[in-house]
Amino acid sequence: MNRRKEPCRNFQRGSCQYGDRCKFLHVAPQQSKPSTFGFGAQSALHLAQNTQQQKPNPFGFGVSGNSQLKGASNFGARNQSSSRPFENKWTRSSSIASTTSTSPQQNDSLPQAAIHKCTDPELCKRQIVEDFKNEAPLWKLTCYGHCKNGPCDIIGDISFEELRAAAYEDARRGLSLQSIVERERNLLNSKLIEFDNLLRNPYVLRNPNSSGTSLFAVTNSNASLIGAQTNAPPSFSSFSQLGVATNVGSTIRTSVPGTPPSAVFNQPSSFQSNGQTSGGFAMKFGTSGIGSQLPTQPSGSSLGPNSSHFNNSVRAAGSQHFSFPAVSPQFSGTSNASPNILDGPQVAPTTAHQASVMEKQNVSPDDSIWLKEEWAIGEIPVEAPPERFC
Amino acid sequence: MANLSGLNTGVANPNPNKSFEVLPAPSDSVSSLSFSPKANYLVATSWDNQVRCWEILPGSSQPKASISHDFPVLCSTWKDDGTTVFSGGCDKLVKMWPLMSGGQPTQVAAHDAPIKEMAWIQQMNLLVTGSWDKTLRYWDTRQAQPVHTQQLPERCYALTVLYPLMVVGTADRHLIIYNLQSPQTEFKRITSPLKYQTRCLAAFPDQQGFLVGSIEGRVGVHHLDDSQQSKNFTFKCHREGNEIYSVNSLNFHPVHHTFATAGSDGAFNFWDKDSKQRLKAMARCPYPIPCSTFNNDGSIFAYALSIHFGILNRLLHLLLLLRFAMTGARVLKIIIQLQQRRISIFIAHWKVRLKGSLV
Repeated sequence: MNRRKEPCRNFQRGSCQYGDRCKFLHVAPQQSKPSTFGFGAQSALHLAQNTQQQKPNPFGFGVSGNSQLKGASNFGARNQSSSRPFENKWTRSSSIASTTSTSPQQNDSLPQAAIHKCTDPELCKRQIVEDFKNEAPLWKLTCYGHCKNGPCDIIGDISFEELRAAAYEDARRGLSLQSIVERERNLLNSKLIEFDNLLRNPYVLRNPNSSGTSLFAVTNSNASLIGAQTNAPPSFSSFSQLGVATNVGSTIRTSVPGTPPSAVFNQPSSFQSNGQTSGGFAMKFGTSGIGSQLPTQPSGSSLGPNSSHFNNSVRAAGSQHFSFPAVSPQFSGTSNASPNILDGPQVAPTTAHQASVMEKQNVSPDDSIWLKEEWAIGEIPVEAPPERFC
Repeated sequence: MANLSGLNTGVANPNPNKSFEVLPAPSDSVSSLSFSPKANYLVATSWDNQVRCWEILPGSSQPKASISHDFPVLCSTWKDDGTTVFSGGCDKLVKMWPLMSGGQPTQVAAHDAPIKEMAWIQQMNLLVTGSWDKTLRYWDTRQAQPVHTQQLPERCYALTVLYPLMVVGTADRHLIIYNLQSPQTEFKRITSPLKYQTRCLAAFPDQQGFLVGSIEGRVGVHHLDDSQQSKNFTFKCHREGNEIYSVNSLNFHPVHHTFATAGSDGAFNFWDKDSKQRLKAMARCPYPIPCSTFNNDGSIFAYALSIHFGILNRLLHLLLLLRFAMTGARVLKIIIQLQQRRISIFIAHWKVRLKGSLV
């Protein structure tokens, strides 16, 4: 509670010993951030300026006040430190969280590189393994990205509210509790399978994967997506439930199983898992340095119009441009698997079977590369053809 | 202490913090809470399709009014003059309810999918709504058509507005930052610094950045300005042993600029991002806290407990929860945590409560 309106001279210099108790105004010595982005010019704000703690205290006031705040007994200590509000404790291990792990340090070490090139697959794999072991959240229906600030490795988020809204919706339509639970269980399982696949073949990273297989994929994408329509009804029972859930609010409330738009909509998540595994194979022959974004873009955009054709009835066409560029790295990589996955689920609708089927299908991308008449740059396999082709 | 309505008596005390309970409780989970910017009126929206308003007086609460939607209501916000409440949810529309004048709700906005988040932008006199149809729409309440529709890469999961900063969190970890002075263009689009689904957002009061909370029990502090990127960090919270709960709500204290996090583990904590400390950890309630909020001057912190959230992977619970959710026979409480002092001098408040003179 600063009674005087004058700024505190000591504070300006960075060392006011009264801290919060000081009777002068603690205004930040340096005024606001560059207007390059026009946010919050300090002068424009009418906030309590006392707590503008942008400048770390150069005098580094006593780390003694850093006691953990786990209980009332520490409040005394906290009071001490409160009079020196500028201790910027850069050592993460103090105070904030209860446990330590390597992740906080990693946050430090990975500078805010917007694009993390994942140049070291081993490191990333270890990161993923560790994440799944130590940091697996209780809510499983989530996307995941192994590097912070990097794009997602697993897409297909479902939030609490979406799941719940879908359940309520189903209940309202008269679906029994049993079937709702069944649907949710399937969702959960398929998600868990995706995570497992990522764990086993983490190094998919869209670029090597897609460059190796994208050209092949594009030509088939038309066929595959059209195929989706016809294959949808018997097979996508569990996935299309997801479609209903995530398309909550879709104006098309036809019967639940396999409406084509929702089937296509689902495919990113199911494809992703397949793509992950096939990507593992692609690694073997696609990595000859063609890791640039360039090959992926054309395939991504060519895929866009295809899918948008199906999704038009559900979403405004405009929205496609946004979802696809964001998803295209994965999408193009996974689309090669699309003909395969459509054949797979027809065999059996249960997810357990699907998992095994997906495994089986993964072999075919391998073969397809050998069956091509011509190889484009980036597709030329590095290793010798397997026996069956010789 | 207010009488705690009949729960399974075998369960631990639902109110270990001796917070004051607001009655009558909604019959289904609370989805959002918001205080009026002018007075101590609390509005709660819940999955039982109702929007309820209470007046919060020191030591008691008085139910004032309620309206209903046809579908669960997911979000609410007050207009800046404290007279009108907007609420929206699974019925894909927003109702404007001039409750102070006793008026009837009218529809002012619509989407193609449930509306997850909304906020009133005082400086523009517009309501912005984010929905699972991957759009953000700006509404002038007098017109039926949105003033502007903004496409999002994915479904909107979280929103925070502090003029001119607006941050939208979507599925697949996108975070899109807008400068509301030119709302048609994204100021920046980044991927969340957290590795899992984004759950909640809160903008810094000085608009230098924002907090992002995810389902993995972690909160990220992110600054917008590139020169301040070194100050970004993330910290873990709401974890218990190996169990990692989601952070459901982030709220800044309007005066002290410390913030509170509330999670599915039933705990809520107060933190100071500048000194990187946890200021106070409250006792864990046995139920998840889906939402929380401060009142306009920060003297009251309201949080809701509700059965349901976040434990869905345990299928047994799933069964139970769903059944209860559908029959609506569930116990939920809105609990008010009164804070009489600034958070840094919490000890005084705590002692007062020990002596039993809770107000």
